[in-house]
Amino acid sequence: MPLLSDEDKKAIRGHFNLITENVTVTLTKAPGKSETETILNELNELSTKLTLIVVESKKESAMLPSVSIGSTGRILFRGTPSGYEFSSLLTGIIDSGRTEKTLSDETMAFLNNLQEDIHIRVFVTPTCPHCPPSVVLAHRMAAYSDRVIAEAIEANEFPDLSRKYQVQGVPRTVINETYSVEGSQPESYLVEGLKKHMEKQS
Amino acid sequence: MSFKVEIGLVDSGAGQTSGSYQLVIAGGGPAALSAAIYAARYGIRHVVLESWKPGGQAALTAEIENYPGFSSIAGSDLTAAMKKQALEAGAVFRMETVEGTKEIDGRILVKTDSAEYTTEYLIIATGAAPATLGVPGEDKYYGRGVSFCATCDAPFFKNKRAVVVGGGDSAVKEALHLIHVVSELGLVHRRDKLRAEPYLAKKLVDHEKVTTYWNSHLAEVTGDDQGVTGVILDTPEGRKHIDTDGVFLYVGTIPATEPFVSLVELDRKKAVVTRNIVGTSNPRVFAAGDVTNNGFRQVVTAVSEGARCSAAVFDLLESKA
Ligand SMILES: Cc1cc2nc3c(=O)[nH]c(=O)nc-3n(C[C@H](O)[C@H](O)[C@H](O)COP(=O)(O)OP(=O)(O)OC[C@H]3O[C@@H](n4cnc5c(N)ncnc54)[C@H](O)[C@@H]3O)c2cc1C
Repeated sequence: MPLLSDEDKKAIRGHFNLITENVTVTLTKAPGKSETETILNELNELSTKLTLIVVESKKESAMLPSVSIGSTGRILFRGTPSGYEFSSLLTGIIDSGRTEKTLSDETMAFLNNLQEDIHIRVFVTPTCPHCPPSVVLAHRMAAYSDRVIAEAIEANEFPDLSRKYQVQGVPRTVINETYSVEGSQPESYLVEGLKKHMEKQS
Repeated sequence: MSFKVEIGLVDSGAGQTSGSYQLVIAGGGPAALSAAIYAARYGIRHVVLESWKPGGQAALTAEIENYPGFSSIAGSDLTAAMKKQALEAGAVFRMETVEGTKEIDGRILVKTDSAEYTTEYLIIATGAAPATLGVPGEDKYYGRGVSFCATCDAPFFKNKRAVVVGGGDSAVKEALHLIHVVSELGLVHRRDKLRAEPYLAKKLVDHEKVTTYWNSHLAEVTGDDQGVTGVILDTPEGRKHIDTDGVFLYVGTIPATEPFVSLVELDRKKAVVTRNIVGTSNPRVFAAGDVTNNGFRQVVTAVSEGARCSAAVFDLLESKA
């Protein structure tokens, strides 16, 4: 049985019509059957602009499954992108396949001036309707600046990591180990907060 | 396992379209979505400015059983269907937070975190945010055991203990959601009886996993560097410490009216004072849903008020045409 209904497929096909540039999606997974692979295969059928690459990893320490959008390896999903995570994945794919501006001028200026790399981890659960904006924002920042890596992490699938970052509520955005934000925050608040934090640190 | 197909965020990247409109709708919950459906269908030149919580509070509840037409539907599925309907009707959404508003030369200036709009009419549908109690530990442990969203955070409390504070419909519904996951649930309420629908209240109070603390107040949330470890309650028998891993707060809401203080009259509780259901003290401004002082805060009332707002704007635009 397919994971996506005909109605979902129709809706996604419509949204994928917005894609003008080719998009590569890379899945790294453990050997064996994977629901993430099934859903990505179904997505792959819905646009000629999509290319799916599947890599098997036997590394025990790897955070699998892992989905990377584009060729930079900086826009990542860790864990099965189900529930609302799937909406974030669709948005990430469509964003990557378009040239539209997705960030405010202030955010772009901030990213242009970055003197150090930043690593954004957004912890989410599939049942969190307010999580996608935080994931999409982090991924847009990573798409814009090669100083940014953004990971959306399914907190239930990586309990050790969730414990390490003290995640008991989502979304929780952790930046460079030192700065964290609870809940869904507007772009300007996240960037302002981060800016202040970085100034204090330097 | 389900896969949610919602891509309302695609066209909502920040800072693209400052401009001039007939109508700005502020909010992204049921009231704003309903206003958007009607505004789009009436052909009103509009933009919906929704902050970072798509679907509003309604999206945060696992089950809605009292919205006509659905015996049971996930709140987020209901709001996603409203959004889809609005987009199909031609509604235009931007993911921006309204920060301030003022009247200039008979128009309203709406300033967001990344753009500025001027408009003939404004609909305030910014709903409400969860109230907090201001007790020690509440802020400190937010996201580390203190939560306002059982639907989002329940998985972290599997086979653990949780406490729910509150006695209204939301508290009881969300406690009933948590009960499937947690090992024990404490219910703390400041009265001796729940305000929630009697059928739900009985189901909760009778549940074997539930311990009730009547006439009790949350005095403090305690914890260590891993997160919440307990709560201190003021009970009729004196102070009590209860071990718990999570604290879910449903102690009312505060209307999100900060950006509109200079535009419309607010009541003591910061709600927009309405007249004739959706009118306000300002003839160019209408208000719908939980942001108003209309009482009875439900999805069904929010959508009905949202529709009335757009209809009122349409009539005004028509009368000038
Ligand atoms: C846990 C829980 C369970 C519930 N269960 C039920 C139920 O079973 N049945 C029922 O009918 N009702 C239920 N309710 C109540 C219902 O959710 C609300 O009455 C309804 O969501 C109100 O809709 P609204 O659009 O007025 O406001 P909200 O839902 O609060 O939406 C407000 C929106 O405005 C946005 N916003 C806020 N400030 C700004 C700003 N400055 N700029 C731009 N946008 C802004 C927010 O991000 C949000 O999207 C429940 C509520 C809760 C919390």
